[in-house]
Amino acid sequence: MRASGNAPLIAGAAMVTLLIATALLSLIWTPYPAEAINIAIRLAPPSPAHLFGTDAYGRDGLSQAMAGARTALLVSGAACLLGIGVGTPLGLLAAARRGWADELTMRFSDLVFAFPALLLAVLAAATLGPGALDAVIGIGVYSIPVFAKVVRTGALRLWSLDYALAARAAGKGGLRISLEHILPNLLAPLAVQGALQLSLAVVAEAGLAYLGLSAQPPAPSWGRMLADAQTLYAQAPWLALFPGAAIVVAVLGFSLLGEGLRRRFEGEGRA
Amino acid sequence: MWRASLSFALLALCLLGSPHLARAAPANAITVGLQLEPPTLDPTSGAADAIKNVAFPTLFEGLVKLGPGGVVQPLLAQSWTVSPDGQTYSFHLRRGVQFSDGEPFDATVVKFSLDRARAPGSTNGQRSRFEVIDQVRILDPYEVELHLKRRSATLLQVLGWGDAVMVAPGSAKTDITRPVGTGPFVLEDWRRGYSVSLKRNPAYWGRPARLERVTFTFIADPSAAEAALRAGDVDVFPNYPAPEGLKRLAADPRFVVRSAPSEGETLVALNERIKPLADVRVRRALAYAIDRRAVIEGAMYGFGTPIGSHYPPQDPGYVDLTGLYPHDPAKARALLAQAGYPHLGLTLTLPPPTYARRSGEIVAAQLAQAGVKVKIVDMEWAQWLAQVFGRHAYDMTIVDHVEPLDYDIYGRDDYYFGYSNPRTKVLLAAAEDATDPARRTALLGGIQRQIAGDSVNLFLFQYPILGVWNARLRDAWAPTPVAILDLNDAYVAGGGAGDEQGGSGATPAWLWVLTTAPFVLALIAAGRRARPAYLAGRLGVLVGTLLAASLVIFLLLQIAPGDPARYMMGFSADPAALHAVRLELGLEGPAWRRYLSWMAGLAHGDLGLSYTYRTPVAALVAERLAVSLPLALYALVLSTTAAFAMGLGAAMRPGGTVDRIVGGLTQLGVAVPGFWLGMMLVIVFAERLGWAPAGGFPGWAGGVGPALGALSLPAIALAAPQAAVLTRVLRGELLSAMGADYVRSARARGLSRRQALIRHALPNALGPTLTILGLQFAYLLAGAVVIENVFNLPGLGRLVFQALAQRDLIVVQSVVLVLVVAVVAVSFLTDLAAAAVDPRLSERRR
Repeated sequence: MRASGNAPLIAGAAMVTLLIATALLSLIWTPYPAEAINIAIRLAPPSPAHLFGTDAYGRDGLSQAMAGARTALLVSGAACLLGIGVGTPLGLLAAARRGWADELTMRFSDLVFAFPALLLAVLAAATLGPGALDAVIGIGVYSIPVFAKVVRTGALRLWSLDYALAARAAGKGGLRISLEHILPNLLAPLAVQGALQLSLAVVAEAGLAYLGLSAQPPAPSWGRMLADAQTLYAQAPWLALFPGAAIVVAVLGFSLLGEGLRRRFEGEGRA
Repeated sequence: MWRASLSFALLALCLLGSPHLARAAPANAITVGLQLEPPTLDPTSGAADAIKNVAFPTLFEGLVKLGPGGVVQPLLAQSWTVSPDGQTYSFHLRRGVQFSDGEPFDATVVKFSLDRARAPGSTNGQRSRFEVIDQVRILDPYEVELHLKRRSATLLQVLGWGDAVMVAPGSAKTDITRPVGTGPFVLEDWRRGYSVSLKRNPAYWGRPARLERVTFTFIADPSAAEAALRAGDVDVFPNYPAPEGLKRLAADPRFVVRSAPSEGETLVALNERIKPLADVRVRRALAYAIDRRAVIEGAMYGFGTPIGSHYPPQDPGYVDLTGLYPHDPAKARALLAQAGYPHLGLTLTLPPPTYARRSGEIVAAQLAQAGVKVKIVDMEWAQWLAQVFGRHAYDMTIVDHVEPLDYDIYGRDDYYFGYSNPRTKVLLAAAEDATDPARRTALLGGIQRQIAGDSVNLFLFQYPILGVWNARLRDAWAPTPVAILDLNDAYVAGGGAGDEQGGSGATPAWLWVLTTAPFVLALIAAGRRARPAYLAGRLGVLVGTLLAASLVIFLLLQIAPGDPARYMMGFSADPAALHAVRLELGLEGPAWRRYLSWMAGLAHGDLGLSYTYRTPVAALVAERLAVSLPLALYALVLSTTAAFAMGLGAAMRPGGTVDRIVGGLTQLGVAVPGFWLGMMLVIVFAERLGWAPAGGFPGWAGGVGPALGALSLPAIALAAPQAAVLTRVLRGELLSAMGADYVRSARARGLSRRQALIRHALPNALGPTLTILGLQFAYLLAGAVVIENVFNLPGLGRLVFQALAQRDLIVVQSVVLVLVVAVVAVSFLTDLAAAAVDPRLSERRR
C-alpha cells in the first residue's frame, strides 16, 4: 500500500485537472457550438462526428457536456466558497470566544441541519426564482455549519497547545491569534473538507438542475441534460448515460482528492 | 462472505416478489391520464383548465353542449328561441332532471347559476363573459328568459362551456370538494395529488354511461406517461404530454394515436409596454426571425399547425396569414438595425409546460440568428401568473391561449401584452354585434389581419390535441372546442385494463406500529440509562430548533413571489374575484398575525387547510406518508443489510481482496448520484427487461406485492449511496474497535478474528453507526424529492415541490415543518439510542 504512494490523491488530482481543463477549454472551443440547435440531426446516436450523440434539438452531446462542466464547477465552487467564507470565521469565533459564540454556532448548525438536504434549496428557489444563485445559496448555506465545525474542532485543539498560550501571554488578542496562528494551521483540514464538500455540491447541483432549480437554459447543465433525457429513454438512452457519467467523474475526482489530501496531511502529521 | 450472498439473495427476492400481477378489474372501468390535477372539482370556481378536464361534462352539465366544430346542441335546455333583435333568449328546460343529491333541476336553478356566475364576488373564471346578461327571468318552472344588455354573437357558445354549468343552490358552496351535478357520473373518491375517481350516476336523466367507473390519474412527468400506458396503468391520455413518443406508440397495435386541432394558439407574447417592443417595426422584425416549421418540428415533433394570427384554423372565418412574415433572419437583422436596435437583448420567460420550454429554446436560438440576444428564465405557474400575467414584468413569454373565442383579449388595454389599437377595438365590437354569418366572417377576417399586421405577438402554432389510448377503449375520442373525450359513450371491448384504484390510500396500521415502535423503545431505554440533565438539555435544543425553523420557513415564504389566489383563479380572474378568494383563504391581514394563527393551529395539532385542495393538510401528509414511509424503510433495510455485509466482509481482512472490492464499490457508491442510478435502473430493468414498473405507485389497496414492486427500483436507487456511506463508517468503527486493547487481549486468549469481530467489535461499532443511520432515515423520508420525481412517486418531497409550484403556501409551510420535526426528532432519538448503547456519551457532553 505504502509503496504505491498516494493513489487516491493522484487519481483525484488527475480527474479534477481533467474537469477544470475541460471547463476552461469549453470557453474557447467545443466540437460544435454547445447551444446551436439543428433539428435535422436530432437524436443521432453516438458516432465519430458526435461522440456523445445529439439531443432532441440536435445539439451536440459532447459540447453540451463540456460546457456543463463549467456550470457544475461554478455553482459548486461558489457554494463551497460561501460555506468556507462564512463557516471559517464562525468556527474561529466559536473556538476563540467559547461560551455564547460557541453555543450560537452550534445552534445555528442544528437549525440548518434540521432542514432535509435539498429542501433548503427548493425554498430558496421559491423565494429567489430558479437560477444558479438559488442553487449556490441552497447548497452553500448547508455547507456553512460543516466548515464551521471543522474549523471549530481544529481550533479548539490548537488553542490548547503551547504556542497559542504563549501568544496569549505575549498579549495578543483573540482575533490576531486566530488569524496569525490558528487559521494557517487549519488550511489542511479545510482543504480536505473543501474537496469532499465540492463532491457533495456537484451531486446536489445536478439534483437541483434536474428539478429545474439551478442554472437556466440555454446554459448547458448536466442535471438538466438528464431531465431532458428522461422522456427519451427508449429512443436515445445515451442521452441519460453521458451526463451521468460526467457527474460521476466529477464527484469521484473531488472525493478521491479529498481522501488523498487527508491521507497526505495525516501522513505528515505522523511523521 | 455468506452474508454478502445472503443480502444479494434478499435483494433478488425483493425484485422477484414484485411481479406485475394481473389486476382483477371490473369490466368497463378505465383510467384517464392527465398532466395536471384540478385544484377543485367545481368548473365555476376558477379558470384552471384541469377542473374542466375532470368535472365537465362528466359531473356537471350546462344548458347546451358544443358538438364537433362548435355546433350548439341541446342538453339541459331542450330547445330555445332568440328574439328578432337578438337580445332575448328563451330556453325550454328538460323535465325530470335531478342533481346527484336528489335536488330537482328547474328554472330557479338556471337563474341561480347564471346570477351567481356574473355576481360581483363571483370566482367564475369567465365572469366577464356573463356580464352581457342583463337579467334572468323565470317564466314558469321549465322556461327561462335571458335578457341581454346588447347583442352577443357568442353567448350560446359560452353557455356550452364548463364555466356555464348548472349548480344547485343547496350544494353550490361545497361543490369544490363534494361536487353535485346533473352529469352521467358522480364523484367516488379523490386521492389528492394522485387520482380522482368517478362512478356511473345510476339516476342520470339521459342514457346512462356505459363505463362503470372513470379514474383520472395525474402524471405530470412526460416520461412517466408512456410507462403508465405500456404498463396498462392508464387507458387513455386525452392530451398526451410527450409528442416524441407518439411515433413508437402509433406503430404498436395495442395503442391508437390521434391528433385533433385545439382552440389553443401557442404564441410568443411580446410586452408592448417596454421600449423596443412598443415599436411595431421591432415586432415585425422579430416575426421575420421565427421559423414556425422548425419550432413545430423541434418542440412538437411535427404535430401542430402553423398560424399567422390569433385564430384557430378549423373555426369559421379563418384567414391563413402564415405567409405575412416569411422566415428571413437577414431581413430581420436589417429591420432591427433600421429601427435603431442592432444589438437587441431580451429575456424570454417560460412557464413550466413542455411545449413552452421546448419552443422557448428553439425560438431563442432563432432570434439569436437575427442578432437578438435572448436570456431564458424558467418559471413556475404561480410566479408566471404573478409576474408576467399580473405585473406585466417581462419582455417575451411563450404560452398557449387555450380558451375558445378569445380574440377579444386584443381589445383589453390592461391585458398582459399591453396592446392597444382603436381600430382593433372597433372591429371586435362590430364582430360581437354581428349575428349575420357573412358579416361576422368578414369582420373576424379583419380582426385577424389587424392583429397580424400589428405583429402584436409572434404566432407559432395551433396547439394539437394528441390522444393516445388503449385499442380496447372504444368511442371515447370526440374532440370538441370544450372537451376531448366523450366518456358517456366510451366503453371497453372485453373488460377494462387499469382500474387498480378504489379504497383509500391510507397507510396500513402495521406500518405505523413498525415505525414508531423502535423509537418508543429507544426513548424508554435511553430514559432509563441516560442522565435526566442530558435529556432535558437535548429536549430544550429540540424545541428551540423547531421554533427557529418555523420562523425561517414562514419568512422565506412571505418573501416568495406568487399569489396563491392568482394561481387558483388563473388568466382571466378579475380583482374582485381575487379579493374574494384571498379573504376566503385567510391571506389578508398582517404577517405576524398569520404566523401566530398558524402556530396556534399547530399547537392544537391542526396543520391548516390546503389552499388548492381545500382539505386538511394533515390528510395530505398522511396520504403521502403512505408512500414515503415504506419507501424510506425499504431503502433503509436494503442499505443496512448491504452495509453490514460489506462492512463486516471488509473488516475481516483489511487490505484483502474483499476489502479492496468493497472499497472500490463504496467509492463508486458515493460518487454515483442516486437519481442517475435510478434512471439507469429504469432503462435496464423497466425499459429493456420489463421486470419492474418504470414509475408510479399503485397504492396499497391493490395488494402489498404490486406496491412493493413499484417501490423496489426507487428503494435501490435511494439505498445505494447510503449503503456506501454506512459501509465506510462501519468498517472504520470495526477496525478501530479491533485495535482496542480488550479485543487484542480477547484475541490473545485464542478468539478467532471472526468471533472477535462479531462478539466484541460489532457491538462497539453500533453506536456511531446508529447515529448515521438515524440521519439517513430522516434524509430518506424527506430528501427523496429528486428520486420521487424520477419515479413519479407521490411522496412527501414531491408534495412540497408541487405545493410550492401551486403556491399552496400553507401546505409547504406545514409539510416542511413536519419534515423538520421528523429530522430533529429522529436525530434526538438516535442520540438517545446511542446514549443508551453507550452511557458514556451522555457524560461526555457538556
